[in-house]
Amino acid sequence: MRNRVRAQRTAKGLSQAELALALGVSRQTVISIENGRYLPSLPLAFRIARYFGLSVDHMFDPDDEGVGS
Amino acid sequence: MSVRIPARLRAPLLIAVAGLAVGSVDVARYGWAAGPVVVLAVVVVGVPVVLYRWGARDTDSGAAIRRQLDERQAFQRLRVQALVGRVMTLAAAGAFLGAVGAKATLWPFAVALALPVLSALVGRAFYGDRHQ
Repeated sequence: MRNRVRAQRTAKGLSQAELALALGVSRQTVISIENGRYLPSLPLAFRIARYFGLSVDHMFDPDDEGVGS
Repeated sequence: MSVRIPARLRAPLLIAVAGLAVGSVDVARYGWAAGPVVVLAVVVVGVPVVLYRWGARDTDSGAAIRRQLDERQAFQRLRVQALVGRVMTLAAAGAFLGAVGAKATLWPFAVALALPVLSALVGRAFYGDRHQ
């Protein structure tokens, strides 16, 4: 599932560690999400979307099986 | 009064205490010979030090040692535990068959094989969908 986490993070000038701290997860989890290796749970997906002020279906695209963003 | 142990210290302390118990039994049995003392030193001192330093790392394994896992790391731990369970069940089955072939006393091997089977049944009862 393609996602826009990396694009949104870099647009805000955040490091992976800073985003991880804001979301309450590890830096490795942010990396895994950005690379498409890990699908976040629904609560975490909502936290990510709300952090960037976007909707979940704007952050995560289930129709695209490509890796990362 | 409760004592709050820092997360990074818990695993090392647990290993140190358990190692002290095991090492003490070893020393009580074999005396202060070189072997038991080395085992005692390694388990009580060496392993906890390694765990303490490893627990400081910003890695999945460091988080596991600190028991501060996020959802992905917790799921990773579950998968590892499931793999360990499968391997140990196979090992128990193999040991039981080996004991049968060697005409050895079977009950310890039967117990070792029955435990994972019973655990699976108990797990189904606890974690299964109760609405079916």
